[in-house]
Amino acid sequence: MTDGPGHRPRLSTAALLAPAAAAVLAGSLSWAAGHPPAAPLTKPAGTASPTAGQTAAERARQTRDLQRLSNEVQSLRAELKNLDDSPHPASTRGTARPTAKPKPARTTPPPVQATTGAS
Amino acid sequence: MTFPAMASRVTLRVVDPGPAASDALAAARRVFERVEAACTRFDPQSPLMRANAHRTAWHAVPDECYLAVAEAARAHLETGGLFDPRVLDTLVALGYDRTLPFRSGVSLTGAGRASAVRVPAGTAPWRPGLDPESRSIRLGVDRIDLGGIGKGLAVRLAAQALAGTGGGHLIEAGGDCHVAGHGPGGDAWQIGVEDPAGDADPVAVLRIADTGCATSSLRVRSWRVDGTTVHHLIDPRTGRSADGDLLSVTVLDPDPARAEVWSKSLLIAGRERIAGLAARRRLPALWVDESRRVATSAAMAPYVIWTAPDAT
Repeated sequence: MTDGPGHRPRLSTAALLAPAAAAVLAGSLSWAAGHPPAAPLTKPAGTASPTAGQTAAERARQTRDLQRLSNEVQSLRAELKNLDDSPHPASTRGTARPTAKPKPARTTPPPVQATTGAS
Repeated sequence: MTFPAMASRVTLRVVDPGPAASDALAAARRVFERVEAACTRFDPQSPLMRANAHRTAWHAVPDECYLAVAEAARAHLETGGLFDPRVLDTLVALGYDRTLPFRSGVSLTGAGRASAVRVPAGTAPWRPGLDPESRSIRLGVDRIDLGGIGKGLAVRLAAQALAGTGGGHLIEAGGDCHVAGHGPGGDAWQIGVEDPAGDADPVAVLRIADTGCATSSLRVRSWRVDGTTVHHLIDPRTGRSADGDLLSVTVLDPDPARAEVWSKSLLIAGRERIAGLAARRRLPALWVDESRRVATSAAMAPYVIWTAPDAT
């Protein structure tokens, strides 16, 4: 069986749009990473200046939010990488992907402020 | 601030302290002293041991003892009996009737010690009498031990005392922790999970903020009785030291007392059941099995920033 006459153009459009969409998504993520959502671009008129304590508290909250989001991004990236690294059925891939070399694991633990263990 | 309490070394730390931090630290230290005085089983005159001595009578007890018994009763129900404080007689039969120098190695002998066990659960659920008005308790048939949950409760109350007194705080008491706000670097706190096999390096590192964290482990409180190795985490279903092929379990929960309860209960549940139980309860849990392999529940994965390469 052969493809119908309209099939090839549709595939070509998809092939063009997919990288473009990926580029837009990547650009959006990159921009979002540099712009914390809680930080306004301009200060609204008539807004009272926050006190030093409020500013510090807000900054601490934003730092925590950023850390939490960063953790989530790391987790999602790891999940995505696992999906990419997992073998795909041959029927869904035109050519076999090269096997990614495993990254060497970091052997020394990062610094810690406390431990949890023997009770 | 570091001091001994509840058979552990307790550390309290406030980052970027405000003017109230000093008083709050002193108040948090007094919390540990009060909970220990109310809940210790090593003093026959403590409120807990007086209630243990006359179990069918009502006893008015300090708030800390009342809260610990109430928390234990709630935990007993929530864990389907995996958490059961009615293990005191088993611990005593195994020779753990006083503070033992576990880190120096303990070996006890005594005719039938290892087999002198009680099986409190499986017969009837534990439902102590609790009168919130008079802060009175009635324990019922069996003597109870509040060691672990008492420490979790102390961490909870100390965290309340330190709340808002600085940019962040850390409470570390044996296997139980609570962190809030930011750490010394202005970032989240990084907590190492001790290697239960005894290595100096942790088996994993967690990055956490505003949560309790508890680990139940066989690393320290293990000893030998008549040539058999036993430990303090008693499986209420068998009346013996839990033997579920797990060396340690770490659980995160906003409430340090609940984290303590579930770390112990998951360790008792054992390697066969832990993954399913943690998933059903959506518990952030990390466990180390007898082969020193580290595994985590899905809810824990986002918090793990490092795992020892030889433990995966």
